[in-house]
Amino acid sequence: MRSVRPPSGATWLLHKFGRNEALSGDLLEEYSLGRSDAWYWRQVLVAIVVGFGKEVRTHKLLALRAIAVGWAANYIILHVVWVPWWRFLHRILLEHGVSPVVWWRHYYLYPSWLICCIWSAACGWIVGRSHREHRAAMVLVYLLTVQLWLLPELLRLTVDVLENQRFLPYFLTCFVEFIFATVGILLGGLWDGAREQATPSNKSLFFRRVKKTSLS
Amino acid sequence: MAKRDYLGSFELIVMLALMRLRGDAYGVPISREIEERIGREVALASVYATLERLESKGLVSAELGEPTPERGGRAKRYFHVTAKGLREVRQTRQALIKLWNRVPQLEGGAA
Repeated sequence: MRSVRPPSGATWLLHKFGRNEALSGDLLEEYSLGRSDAWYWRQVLVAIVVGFGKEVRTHKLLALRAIAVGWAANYIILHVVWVPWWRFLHRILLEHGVSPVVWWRHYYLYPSWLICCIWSAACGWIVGRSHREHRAAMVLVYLLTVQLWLLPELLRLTVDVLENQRFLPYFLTCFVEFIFATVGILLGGLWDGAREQATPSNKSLFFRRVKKTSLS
Repeated sequence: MAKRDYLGSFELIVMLALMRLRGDAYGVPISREIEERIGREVALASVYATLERLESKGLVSAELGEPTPERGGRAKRYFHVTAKGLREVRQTRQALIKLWNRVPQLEGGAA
């Protein structure tokens, strides 16, 4: 039996998204018996997809609520923070003769994208916080709807930029927005999850207690 | 005619693997048994999802073992086929045998 040290990234993902102790133990046992890193990664990714599908199927109303909560938060933050900020920035930049469309040429504009990330993180946090029991699955549901919303535009701009370089600024803006939204929602949504999952869940403690009682 | 659910193909595979293993049936041996018999890799998560579905139908029962160090302190989850599960497998087998007989495309050797 080799030392049990499976890929830490995969283990982290499994810990965050797959709440099945027996499955985690089985994967560790198989890995210690000589399975490859690729095998471990494959199993973890399938576990996340299967677990996510099961959670959403069994909690359809919660999933709908998570989407509604996330988009409501998104709408509010968009109109309270993002739109006024962009208007302000555009005005300042145009006054100084800088085109906001080519923002990436001006490194001092990079931090402004932090607002996009914080905005997405806030939405993810609200979704996660209001669905603590099924946090990971509900955050993923909301994230998927955001990605589905952004993806058609991103694909259209990808096609445009392949035909004409003129569209590069628009493509880059949309691409950065897509990445920042994804990272932000995941970070914000899973923020409290680490603390909650560090201690055994009430359910697993209950099962262990029942088992101990039945053995004695 | 009374409505009844037959076992799906993967459900049947998992049930048969479980019955072959008898007492020592948790995720690892079940998936190994399936891999050895059908000759392809199976995802442990799919095996667990199927087992949990079978458990909710009352076809298998599960109990938690003791946590062990080689599993990072995580307990094994042992599964057993219930009497209802055994009945269900028998009925599915009978139904499949009836369907299997006299299929013109399958008669006469190579397809």
